Amino acid sequence: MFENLMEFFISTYTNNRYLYGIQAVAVMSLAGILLGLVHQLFLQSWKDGKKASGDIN
Amino acid sequence: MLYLPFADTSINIYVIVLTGVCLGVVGGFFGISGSVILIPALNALGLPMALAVGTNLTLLFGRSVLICVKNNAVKQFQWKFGLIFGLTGAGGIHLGRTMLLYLEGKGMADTVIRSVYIILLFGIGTFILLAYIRSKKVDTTAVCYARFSTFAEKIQGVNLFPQVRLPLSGGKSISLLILVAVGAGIGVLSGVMGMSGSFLRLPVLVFITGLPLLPALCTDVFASIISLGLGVSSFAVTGHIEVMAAILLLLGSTVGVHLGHKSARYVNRNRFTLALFTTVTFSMTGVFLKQLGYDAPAAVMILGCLSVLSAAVILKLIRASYRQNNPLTGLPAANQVSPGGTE
Repeated sequence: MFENLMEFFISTYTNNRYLYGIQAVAVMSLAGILLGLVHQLFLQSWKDGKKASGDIN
Repeated sequence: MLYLPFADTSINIYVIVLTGVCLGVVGGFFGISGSVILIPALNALGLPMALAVGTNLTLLFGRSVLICVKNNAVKQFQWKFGLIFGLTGAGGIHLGRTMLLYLEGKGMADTVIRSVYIILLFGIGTFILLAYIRSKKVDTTAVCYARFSTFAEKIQGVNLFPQVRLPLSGGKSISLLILVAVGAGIGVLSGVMGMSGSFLRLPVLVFITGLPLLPALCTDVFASIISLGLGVSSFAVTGHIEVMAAILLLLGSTVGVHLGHKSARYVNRNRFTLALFTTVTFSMTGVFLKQLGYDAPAAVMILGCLSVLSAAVILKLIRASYRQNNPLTGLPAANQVSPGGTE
């Protein structure tokens, strides 16, 4: 998977360097948004759930 | 093994992810971005300095987006200051990158940046040690606050056209030229050294523009996204970023930062100040060894010390949470402000 992604990046760079710049920013934005959402949806809710159970006990 | 085409080298994927985790733990625990340790570490792993700087900026950009999404920072943005610092920062990064590429063209980039890093790490190490010694005698936070406030009043007194009104400072105003100069200066530092610049931007936003801490933090994230986004694209055009390495580092550091934040709630941070000083000193020695051509010892020194520090923090976290959860040894947590405290 990593090799395929890497080939995709390299082919973009060799074809159009400016597109590679946009692609890099887009990929990192996407990674940041996904990880942020994962944190908000799962880790935050897990923490809140833990807090709530603590309150009940 | 992950082949990095721009560096023309291969690095084990687990090493990159673990470096991200360790960096995240240390960064989350001490509240630092960790660029001063990551760039020498990437350099020791085989990336040239210019590539390490670009890759670190890419990681910082992804992390800024993550922080923005995670904390719903959009609600607290101060658009005016964010745009000023973001756009001037982007210009500064572009200028810094040009300087870096000029040095690289002359074949001096690695030597110059490593030398600057040795001086910088020495300075940071000395600062940590002095702050640790002084913290036992005087309240260093109060002293710094007073000094910054006096300096900020002097800056606000400069009457240069055009003036920008400070909305949350009781109708005060500040010269736009000063803000542009500060933003561009931070950008140049980011472009040459690969730092996020938040350690300079945040005090400026709090003390000079008079923003409360939360809007200042969110505005800093916003400015980082703009400046680093444009900066990353300009580094990418010249082939000075490794996107895959940045993604893996981001993955690792996200997990690490979570553990680091948790540790900061349970473990007394002051006990680890000397350990951080040791890590910085070892990193400085590692950069020096790399400059002398000892690649493997340099990598072992920087990454080894980072791993030991993060392992110690995690072990302390496990021990502290075990103690707290065990009713027989239930001792109060060291740094815990409130049981429902947010990270």
